[in-house]
Amino acid sequence: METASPPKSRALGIAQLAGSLCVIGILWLGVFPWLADQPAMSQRIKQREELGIDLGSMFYTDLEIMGEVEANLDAFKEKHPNALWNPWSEN
Amino acid sequence: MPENTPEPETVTSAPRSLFHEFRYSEDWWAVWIGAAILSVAFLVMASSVPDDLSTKIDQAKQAGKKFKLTSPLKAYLAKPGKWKNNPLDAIYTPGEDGHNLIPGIVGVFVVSMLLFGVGTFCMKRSLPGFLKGFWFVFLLATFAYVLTGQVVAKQYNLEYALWALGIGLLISNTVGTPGFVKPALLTEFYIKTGLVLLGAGVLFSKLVALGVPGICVAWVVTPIVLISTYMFGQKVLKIESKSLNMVISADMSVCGVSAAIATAAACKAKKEELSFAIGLSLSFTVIMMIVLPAVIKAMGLSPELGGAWLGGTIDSTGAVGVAGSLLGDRAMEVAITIKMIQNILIGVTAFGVAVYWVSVVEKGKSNVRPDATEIWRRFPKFVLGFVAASLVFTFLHSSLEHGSYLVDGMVKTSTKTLRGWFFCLAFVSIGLETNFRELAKFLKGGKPLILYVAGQSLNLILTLAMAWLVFEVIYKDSLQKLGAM
Repeated sequence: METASPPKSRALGIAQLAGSLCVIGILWLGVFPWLADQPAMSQRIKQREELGIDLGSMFYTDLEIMGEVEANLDAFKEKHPNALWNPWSEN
Repeated sequence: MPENTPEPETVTSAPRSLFHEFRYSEDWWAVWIGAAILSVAFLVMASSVPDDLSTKIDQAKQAGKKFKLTSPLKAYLAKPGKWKNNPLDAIYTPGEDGHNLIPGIVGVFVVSMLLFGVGTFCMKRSLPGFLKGFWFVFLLATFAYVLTGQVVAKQYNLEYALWALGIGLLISNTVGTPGFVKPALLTEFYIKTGLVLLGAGVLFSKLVALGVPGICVAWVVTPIVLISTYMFGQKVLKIESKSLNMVISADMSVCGVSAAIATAAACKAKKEELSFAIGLSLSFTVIMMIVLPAVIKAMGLSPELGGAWLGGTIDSTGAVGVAGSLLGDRAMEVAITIKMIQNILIGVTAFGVAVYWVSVVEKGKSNVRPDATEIWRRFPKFVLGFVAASLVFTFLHSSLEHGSYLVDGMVKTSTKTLRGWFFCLAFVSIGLETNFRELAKFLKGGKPLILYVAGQSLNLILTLAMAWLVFEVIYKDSLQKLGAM
């Protein structure tokens, strides 16, 4: 296998990669699942899932809850069409 | 570009004559591929609209919910989902309530390989080389998505961009990037195509979602902070790289990773500058999403004011939602609506930065005032595709009967998935091409860190002042009606 610019000796590189993958494995397959079972974390995860908020959302279209929020705003604007434009408007 | 031609160092385009550009340039191929995906996705969505759509919309309205259309393409376009104990659950779980995302992930793989393969071939790059390496890049992107999907990892705003970058960096800085993968490391191509797809979600009709208060907080304060931070970086900190300064200023003031990607491409930033800016933004976002709600509670701010402050200052969209939810439903709704309005600013920012770069910054380098032809030649054309997608889908969203349902359904259940994959492929590619030392050099002297902190401090002050003025003084009565609903 051709390499771009091997930073160190090949054996050391392989050892470093294997070590890093072991750390990832321990965290993702051991520590995180254990944390997920802890009551406080478990409750927090459940709450956010119920709300439809994905913390990794990069853009508003990634948020599940956005549809509901927009529906609420639409309902408000239908009832009070000028409220968010003219602050002295009666409706 | 032949296989052995070195990749450009920057997230940039290589402008040539117009016909030549249409035929061979990466920018235009990003536009063609983006346009093809959006056209097919919209036509499929439009042809699958049920006859009784109006009735269904009314029924959902009466139930207090928003009706959603789902694209038939959804089943063929997927990314790994969430999991807790077993990573395979991210892709497949058996049983009646289970899911099988394998067809969707394979679908994305085939579509991406075909489209980027055609682009590669037409740009006279090595198609066999691309095909040999693409599966590996895609596999790493899948791995990044699986890491992102772990339910605990998801709680800390660790977006897929970070894992994708990390996996690439891990390989390139340990065993080295395999040579056969290099022709598939099309960072700019993936980013530009993803940005054209992102354009379909940049709907200007959303700009007025919260009327004048939303515009004041998101569209008045944000450009002031962006320009002031950039000038501070240039005049006071004297940051060497203008593009790094611009990317940090934009991701801090507009909306985090998505703004950083768009701005980096528009100002031809180096790949490692984009990586660094994203790492900086995500680190501060984790802190702000925990600290700011506590500060708001301690200050006793109203939910509307607190929500507006969060939405205007926290970079990442997901983190804004979570921080808002810590203050209650009303604060969360205001916060994510402000962030949504700010998201729309990406289009204007990318266009403005691209124009500024080719007409002012690059003029400074050559010391010659460029004429219109020269500005056009240098202009990153994919930005036109991004802006055109935004304008076309804003028009369709507002003018077609049930246009909002069609466009929202298309974006949320088909093109959004592809856009995410393209960005993920780009970040894996950046990682595979970057040396840790190139990232570490940005920390020397701490100027980027000072830039971020100074800019964010200004952002916090101005956003709070503007939000207080519109939410607590001018529109107080109107917003009380909203709160009463």
